[in-house]
Amino acid sequence: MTVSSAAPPLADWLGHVFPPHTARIEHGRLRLFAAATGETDPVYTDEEAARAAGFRDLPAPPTFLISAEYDSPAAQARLSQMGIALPSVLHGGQTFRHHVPVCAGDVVTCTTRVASVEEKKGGALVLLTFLTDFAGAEGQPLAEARMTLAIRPALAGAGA
Amino acid sequence: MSAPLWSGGALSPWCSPPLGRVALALYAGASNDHNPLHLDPEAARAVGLPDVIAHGMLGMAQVARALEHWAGRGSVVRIDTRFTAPIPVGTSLKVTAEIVSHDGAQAHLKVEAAGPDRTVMIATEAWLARPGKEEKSR
Repeated sequence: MTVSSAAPPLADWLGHVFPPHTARIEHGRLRLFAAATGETDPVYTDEEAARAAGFRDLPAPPTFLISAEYDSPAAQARLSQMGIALPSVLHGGQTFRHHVPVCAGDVVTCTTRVASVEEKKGGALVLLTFLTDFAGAEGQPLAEARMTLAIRPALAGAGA
Repeated sequence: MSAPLWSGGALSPWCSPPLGRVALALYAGASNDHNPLHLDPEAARAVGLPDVIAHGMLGMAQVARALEHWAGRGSVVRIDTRFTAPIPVGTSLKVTAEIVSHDGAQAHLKVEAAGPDRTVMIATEAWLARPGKEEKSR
């Protein structure tokens, strides 16, 4: 697949806000994340250990929230919607700012927008940045994440 | 748990477990990032890589583990990461830190995660706060 003719040019997506995704942070999901990252501290897998350490429930690790956002089918479809093929994408950078700890049971709303689109090397490389706000059940800000993808459109047809 | 950053201890290098194929498959499931570059050697070779590479976010999760090892659970206020080189499957990341500033309650670190040949794969700046009860009970 090359850049789909149905998708507008990447620069036209600047400022676009994708539909928000709301989900409850699940215990099982956090345990799977701990297993997948090699985390062995029971604070991340055992509610009693988490409470003994002062958390309300199992805490979300510092880099977890973007995975919660990826649970949304809309987030999964985002790149293809923009005409971007997965094998052409490398993750260039990622930031998180945490305002309040997020724990299992919390209901989180993730809202992602296109924060910047930069063409480099005459279009051979595109740096695309998404900014995601995470808000709690009462709309209070919990965290924000910035994801920069390095896209090499020439590789769009490779792999997959 | 004693957190060396706040007790004046040295920030000894922290080594991740090897990020092998099983870890990559588990992380694909746990993160919902199903990019074939992390799972399918043919897809990786098609874009010029010798084999699959670890998710940058799996590497960043290891950096976060190192930060919490040094500064305690729930201490990471802000973490800014650049993925500076692909992380070959099987890499054990060695995470090292340099203290930029530190006032006893908050600290700013520069952190690097490198492979066995010292190639820096992740460059991070992190802002940490000393964990306190009042921050944890909302």
